[in-house]
Amino acid sequence: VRGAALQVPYHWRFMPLASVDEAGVQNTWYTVLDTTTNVRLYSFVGNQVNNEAAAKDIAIRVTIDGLTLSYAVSSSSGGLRYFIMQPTTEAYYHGNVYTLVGTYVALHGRSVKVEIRSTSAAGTNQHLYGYVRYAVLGVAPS
Amino acid sequence: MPCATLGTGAGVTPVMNTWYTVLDTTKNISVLNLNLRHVNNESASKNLGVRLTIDGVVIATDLGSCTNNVTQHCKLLPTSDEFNTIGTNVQPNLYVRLNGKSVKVEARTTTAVGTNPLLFATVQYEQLERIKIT
Repeated sequence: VRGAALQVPYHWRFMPLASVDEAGVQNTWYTVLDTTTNVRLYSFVGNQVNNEAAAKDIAIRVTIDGLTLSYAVSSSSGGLRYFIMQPTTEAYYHGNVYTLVGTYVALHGRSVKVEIRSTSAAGTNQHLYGYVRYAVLGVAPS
Repeated sequence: MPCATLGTGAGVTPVMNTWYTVLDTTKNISVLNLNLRHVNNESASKNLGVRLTIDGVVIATDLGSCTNNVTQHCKLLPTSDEFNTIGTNVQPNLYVRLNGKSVKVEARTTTAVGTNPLLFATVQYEQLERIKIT
């Protein structure tokens, strides 16, 4: 009918926490969140631990709508790293305080993938952790 | 922006380990904030618990010992399905609303309740509504 539109409401569905606990093989990318459509990315956190308590270099890569945002953390020493988007470059920064990826806001994308890797030689009993909090858009229940 | 509370804002007299529904299952909402508080005649600290069920994900946390008559604001952790609390008002997903197609919020005490106890909880939220476009 001209002049009238059928409205289909959409809303965000909260998703289970995406996480990985990997051996951290040097220079191997691990997928924390595989390519997912219509995403509201709340937070992305990385961490690494090993028996020697040695600092390792870790890197993250977010592929969002064809744009690749990446960041390498030198000598990450066994603490949570909260990745936040830089306002001036297509890269991330990291902080030790929980901050949302878009710096206080969620980051939206039609296609989002999140990966993590270590660029250092793995230590003994090496663990590389990644966590993604997100929601996906879908038709709202009536 | 509705505000859901226990006992219509007057709180409830809690029984230890009994869950009280603050916000019953509600569709298509954005949670703006979520907080708890308790009081008792002895002004004793009590353990409080909160449980948020959102799109099938259960985020349940024993908040530990909470000071009498101090509001505890819940904040979702980024690495596990738990909350922690801070003394200042914060949105449950840290600076942004927590959106879900189906959301339920409950609160409880997990220690002996004391004399004349009251448990308070508040959820402020917005709900998506259908509008007619012509």
